[in-house]
Amino acid sequence: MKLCIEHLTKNFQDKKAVEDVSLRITPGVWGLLGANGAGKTTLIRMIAGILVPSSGRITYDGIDIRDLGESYRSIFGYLPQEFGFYPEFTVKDYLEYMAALKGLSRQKTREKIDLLLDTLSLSDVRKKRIVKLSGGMKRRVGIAQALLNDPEVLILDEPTSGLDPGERVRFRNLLSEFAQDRIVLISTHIVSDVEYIATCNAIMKDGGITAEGTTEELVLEMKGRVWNGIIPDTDLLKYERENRIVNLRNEAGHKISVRYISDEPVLPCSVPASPRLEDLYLWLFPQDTRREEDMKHEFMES
Amino acid sequence: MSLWKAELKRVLKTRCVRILLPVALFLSVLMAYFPVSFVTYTYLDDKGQEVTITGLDAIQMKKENRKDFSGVITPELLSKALFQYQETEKAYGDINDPDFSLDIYNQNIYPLGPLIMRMREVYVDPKTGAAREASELSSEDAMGFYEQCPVHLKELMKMEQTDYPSAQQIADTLFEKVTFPYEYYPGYDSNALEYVGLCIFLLILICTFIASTVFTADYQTGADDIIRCTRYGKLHLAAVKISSALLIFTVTFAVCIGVFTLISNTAFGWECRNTSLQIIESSVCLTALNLGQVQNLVILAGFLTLLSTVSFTLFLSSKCRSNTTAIGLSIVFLVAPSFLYMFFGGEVTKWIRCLLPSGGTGMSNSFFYTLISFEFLHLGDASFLPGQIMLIAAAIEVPLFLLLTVISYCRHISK
Repeated sequence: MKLCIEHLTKNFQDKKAVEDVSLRITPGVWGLLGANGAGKTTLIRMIAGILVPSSGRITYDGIDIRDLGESYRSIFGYLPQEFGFYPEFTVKDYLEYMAALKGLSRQKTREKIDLLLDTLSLSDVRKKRIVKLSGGMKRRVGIAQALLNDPEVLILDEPTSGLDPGERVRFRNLLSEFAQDRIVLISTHIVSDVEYIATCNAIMKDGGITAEGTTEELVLEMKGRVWNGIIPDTDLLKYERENRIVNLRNEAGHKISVRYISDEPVLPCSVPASPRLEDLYLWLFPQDTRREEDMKHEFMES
Repeated sequence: MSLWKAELKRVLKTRCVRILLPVALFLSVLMAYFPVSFVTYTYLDDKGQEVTITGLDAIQMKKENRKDFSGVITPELLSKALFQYQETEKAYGDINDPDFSLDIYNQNIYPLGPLIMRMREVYVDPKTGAAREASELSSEDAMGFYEQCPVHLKELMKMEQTDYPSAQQIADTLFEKVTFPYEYYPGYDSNALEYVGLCIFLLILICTFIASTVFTADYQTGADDIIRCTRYGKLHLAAVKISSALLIFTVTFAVCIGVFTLISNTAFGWECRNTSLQIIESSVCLTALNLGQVQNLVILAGFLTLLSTVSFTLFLSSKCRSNTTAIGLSIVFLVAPSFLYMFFGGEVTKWIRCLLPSGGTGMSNSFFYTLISFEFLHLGDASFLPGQIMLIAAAIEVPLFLLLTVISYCRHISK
């Protein structure tokens, strides 16, 4: 079981959304990380067959997915970033409709819906209209429909948006269990969604893949670049301007413990820290770091 | 089959369908009721007061009043009618005089009305086109009514289609199929036939509205992204969406038109269906059918027009990305024949009107009007009946647009 992306490019008029991407996706959970606008959704939509690539191809077990057609779609599960549904449908109606589209028998439909509603804690709202559900619940309905046909290839675009921390943990565990002998590709910019469950990660930037490997392999890139330091709280703004700070913690005596990324220690009392996938992400997407820092400032000031 | 049921359930659950289908039924009842309510009959009561009754009572009164001059309209009956008319005029003066006794009118003139009108029509002055007064007609004219009909048609066609001998030829051939003598069963109002067309137009409008969002609703909400990735989410689903929509429209049409005809024919009397179209519309109408057959044909043509219009609308729906655009375009194309009829003339416009998927329906340009008019389409020297062109175009457009819909849906690329 192998999903191969070969020199995939997608142009929208004069803009290259995805450029010469090649990936060999094997069974397990794959994390597709990247900032907003990196080209993740475009890539995923091409894998889903919704968008036609400008060049390159995608094969499943050696055969072009366009040639596979219905047989590819029958082993495929997909949750897009924007989950569209029919407003008049209840959760049960919607899942039954999707089960019919996926070609499930009546018996299998009933069993599968009961199981998924139970697993995703949706049993109580099965007769409720989707439009009346909270964002997190809607997302879980979306996840349920993607899992209905026990897909061999499951693609989830920002699956945890709207889920609370508890739901995120349950979802991660569910996926880990599900991914045995299956390909699960999770596109996200929330690193913690994939850090501990992904067997492999691909990092996208400006339409291309900038890094690929296991979490451990990728994190190795950051070895010797992540530090913990202690600074006086009065110097925070100064250090923030000059360094790429990952996170902060207030300590006693008007001190702040700072985790930061740098080729060499620059803050007082710096000691090397164990790198994490999040550090790599912030290293690769400095604009995102800045944006997050700005938000942190606004939050602190308010 | 399960997908088909699921799609049917989905469509029937949508708010728009749940509102519009009962509205369609209500409008059908209303359209059937209106022509009945338009029928009026005025008479003098015992105290000499004018009394006007409407609706079913008026229809019954008319039936009763005209029963002696109904059934098979033989030349002898026409002659008798003319004699009674002329004798009444001799005895009581000009019937058009405002002071003419209502009682005498109802007793002697009203029962003959349609027969006298048809006789006056066929004996028009061929040069001026002016109808002759009934007082100028003779018993011989009445006895020769059926011989005069084809003569009058030739004269009329020479005036209407002067430059097109082919149209005159077609008219003669068609009229040869009209059976004599005509039959007349009083009570039926010609408005009722027009309202069949109006009812069909409203049903097509409602079905067009529903059909216009069949595909765009999925595109607009983004539901299409998930659906398209499923096993049956492309060709299979396109076929299922189309067939379930057509089933809903067919059942809606059948139920609504069924209710309409049941109410209308029961109110006017089922025997009226045997009346010759020529007695109600024109003595030389080219359509060799009675009212019942005309009603059936108009309904069948309406159904074909419904299918061609919704097929085209489904195609638009598969092309447009938003419901608003799809609904807007669908309605524009639906009313285009009426709009062209009202504001544009000329041969090309006439062809476009007939060739458009909704050509067979409209406010005053529907298939029904082609059955009673003497209008032809022309291509060089050749002439064609507009009604036939409408039906042929619709029959071609149904499979064509359904096929294009499937192709368009399967090839749709979301943004």
